[in-house]
Amino acid sequence: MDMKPLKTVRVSLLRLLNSLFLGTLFFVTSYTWASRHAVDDEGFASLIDQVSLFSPVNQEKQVKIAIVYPGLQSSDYWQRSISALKGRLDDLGVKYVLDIRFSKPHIEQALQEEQIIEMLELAPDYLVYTIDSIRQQRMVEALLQRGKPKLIIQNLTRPIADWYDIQPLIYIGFDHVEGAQKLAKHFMKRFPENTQYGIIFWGEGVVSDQRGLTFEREIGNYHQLKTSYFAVDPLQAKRAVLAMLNDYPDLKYIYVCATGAALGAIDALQELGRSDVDINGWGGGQAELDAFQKGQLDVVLMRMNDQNGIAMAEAIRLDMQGWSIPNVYAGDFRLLTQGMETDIVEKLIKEAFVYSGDSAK
Amino acid sequence: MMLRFRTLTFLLFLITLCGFLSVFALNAYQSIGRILQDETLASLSQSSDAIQHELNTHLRLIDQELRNLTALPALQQEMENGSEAALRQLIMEVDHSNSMQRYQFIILSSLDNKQCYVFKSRLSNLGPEACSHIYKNYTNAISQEWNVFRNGAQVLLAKDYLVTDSHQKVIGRMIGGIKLSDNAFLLNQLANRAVVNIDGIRLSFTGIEISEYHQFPKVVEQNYSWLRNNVTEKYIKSLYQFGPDLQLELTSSEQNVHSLAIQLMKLLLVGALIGLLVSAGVAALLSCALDKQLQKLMHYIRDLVRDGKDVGWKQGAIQEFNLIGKEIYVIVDELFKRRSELKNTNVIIERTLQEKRAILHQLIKSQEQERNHLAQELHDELGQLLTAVRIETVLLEYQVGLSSPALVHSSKIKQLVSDMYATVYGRIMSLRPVELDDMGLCRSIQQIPTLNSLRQTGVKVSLDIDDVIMPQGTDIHLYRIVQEALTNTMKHALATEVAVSLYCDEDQIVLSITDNGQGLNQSKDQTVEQGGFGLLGIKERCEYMGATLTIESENGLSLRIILPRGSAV
Repeated sequence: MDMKPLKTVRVSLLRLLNSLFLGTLFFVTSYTWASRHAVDDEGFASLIDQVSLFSPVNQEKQVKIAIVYPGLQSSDYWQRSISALKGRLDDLGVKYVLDIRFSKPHIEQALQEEQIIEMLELAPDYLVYTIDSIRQQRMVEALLQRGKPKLIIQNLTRPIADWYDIQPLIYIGFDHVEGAQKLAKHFMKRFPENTQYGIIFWGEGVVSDQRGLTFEREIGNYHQLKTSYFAVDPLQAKRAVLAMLNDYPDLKYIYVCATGAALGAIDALQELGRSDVDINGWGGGQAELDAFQKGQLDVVLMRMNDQNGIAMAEAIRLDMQGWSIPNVYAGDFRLLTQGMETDIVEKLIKEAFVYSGDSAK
Repeated sequence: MMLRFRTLTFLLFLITLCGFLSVFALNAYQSIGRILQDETLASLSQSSDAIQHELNTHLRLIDQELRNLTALPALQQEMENGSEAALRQLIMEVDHSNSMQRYQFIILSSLDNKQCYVFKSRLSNLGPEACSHIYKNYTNAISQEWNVFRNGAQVLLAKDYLVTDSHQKVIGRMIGGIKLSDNAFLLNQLANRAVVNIDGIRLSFTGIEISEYHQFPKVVEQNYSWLRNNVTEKYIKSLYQFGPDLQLELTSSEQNVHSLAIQLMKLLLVGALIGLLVSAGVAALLSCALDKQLQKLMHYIRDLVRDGKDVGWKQGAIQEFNLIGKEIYVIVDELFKRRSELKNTNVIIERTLQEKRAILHQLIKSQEQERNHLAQELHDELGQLLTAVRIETVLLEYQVGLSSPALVHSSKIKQLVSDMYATVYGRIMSLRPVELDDMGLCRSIQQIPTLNSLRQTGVKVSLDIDDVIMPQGTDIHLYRIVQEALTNTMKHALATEVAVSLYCDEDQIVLSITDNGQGLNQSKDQTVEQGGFGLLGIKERCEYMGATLTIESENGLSLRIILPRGSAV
């Protein structure tokens, strides 16, 4: 007798019960919160895993959401976030208008400013933007002074202390520091003491600092950092890896801070015909997962990608309903390594791309 | 209501301390309003200084960034080239020299003002954006290092720098700065960096508000009516370094003032409560300590008096009580010595009195015996002689004639003899009434000569004398007592009535002599004069007989002698 259908039914039943339990729990706790009109961190995080049982949003008109993304890069993180946002907004029954502008990170900041001004002319209710440079920070400050639209800062989970009381609606992202620490633990476990390694930073900015410098600090003297480079695109990363391995052929792994750097590093290794150097993926976008499944990446730090878009949707919905929400939401990471069972990897990937999975393929 | 000393001292201590505490608390309560106001203003003053300091720091950093910018060779070169796009790229789009780009706008103008460029974020509203217009507004306001000026509806704060070429020739001027109007963000940063505790900041220029920031959400009004007049204070500080027209206005946080007030009240109440508890504790300790010492002292005295010996004072912690214990021991010891001496003295006196009483009794006895003997002698000898003289006189009359003149003389002799006999008889009776032996005390009392004397002087005499069989040897003493009492009445009492009674019952014989005279005078001299010695004799005789004497001196004098039947002398 084939037991697989039974197993599937049982799993589905368990999931349903789990959802019901969590939903009831949230409903009860949210009733209590309602009296305070605030949702705390735990309550907000519990919303991410299932569609809330809250009453639907009463809207007289569609909510306008503007997104200015540095999404023209190798990682599909930004596009997937939008998919998740849309998916959750649809599930919640929120009527919305989404206006999206893409640019390249770092180098097209004037364009981003232009795009923001265009967006402001449309009088959006919410503006989603990111901060990775002083210029971007100053732009956000100018927006904060205006008071409207409400700002959602993506890909940053450490509030900017210098803004004090005047803060965006919410910071949503994945904690780069936490991710870098996970990878550092992985490499320290995988390689013995005094192993030589290199780092490729991704642009000059907050993200690169948090991912790269945190990793370096976590490794400490356990491994020997021989060389490091900055890169802003895969080609620069490839050149950097070639130079690094030329100078230090004994490097056992190269820590890269972004998907673009990982892809450039893979090219470099293929060109050199070396497979003895470990490369990591940072973020777990589709390009990284493809490379991981081909065995080109040894480890991938995968963000539970769609949690960001879901969190944005929930934040918007709760704000529309007049709730006070947490200032920061950081999504979860999962570490994919070669040697993991395929089923587990697929399950994790499915969880990470609960909304964006199909559209990304 | 009886109170223990411990309770009393405890209550006294407690009431006193509570009184002090109440006065202190009342005074503090009344001072809270003034303290709050003073503290709030002082706090706001300090806050304004801190915010100004932060503003100066912020401006110094901007100044440094702008100086670095003017020193960039590329900037000098592009200014000479007059390329606005290149300058914009240089200033706005490249993260040069690690600049944090704290400035919000930059104006570059050539010396001849033919070239003038404004560089700013398009998201910022600086007012009219014509470069020459802003430049002109700035130059009109320029008077010091940092200058505040109005540009349309906006108020800007800026500083200017000279731009030189590689030969140090001045080729233009750069003006850079920040927007002050509608800049709650800046006020937010200044307030938070200064770590001040305020409700809000308001920036005004030429008396018109240009920017406002509230650090906390407006507090929901609460019922603190007792603080209502002191809740909000304002403090205005002129920022003279930027000209006379820029003012910073700080408002105290209503919540903070309330919080401070409540904290003060809590502090006061807690302090008072703790003070009260401590006071109660101290009062209890003190009263217990005093009471313990007193109890110890009382037990010590009781033991000392009961045992009559040194039971030993145990030294305590309070020196005064130790001294009292010692003093009490000295006093009690002295008392015991005196008591012992007194006992000895009393024994001696008692013995002397006994001896005296024995002598006195012997005297009385001897006196009666002597009187008896004398009366007997007088009666037996002098009476016989007088009788013989009378007989001889009668015989003589028989021998002389009837007409003889000698008869007159003999008659006189007989009369003289009769008088002498009467006198002797009276003396015999006073010494020893013969009736006493023959007729008993009853008749003897009635024969007392003084009775006749009293009657003769108009005193009404009442006698109620029963025929009482007297114990042996006591009749003469009762007789003497009646005799003495009547003599006193006659001499001193000025009485109009006198009564003597004698009766007996089964156990006792009662003699009573009463008059309605003036009674005894309490004066000692008068007492003696009025028969004090007589009374003394009566007392002595009573004592001798074993009788009890009661003397009353109200509405006259009353003597009552009770003699037990079994008494005999």
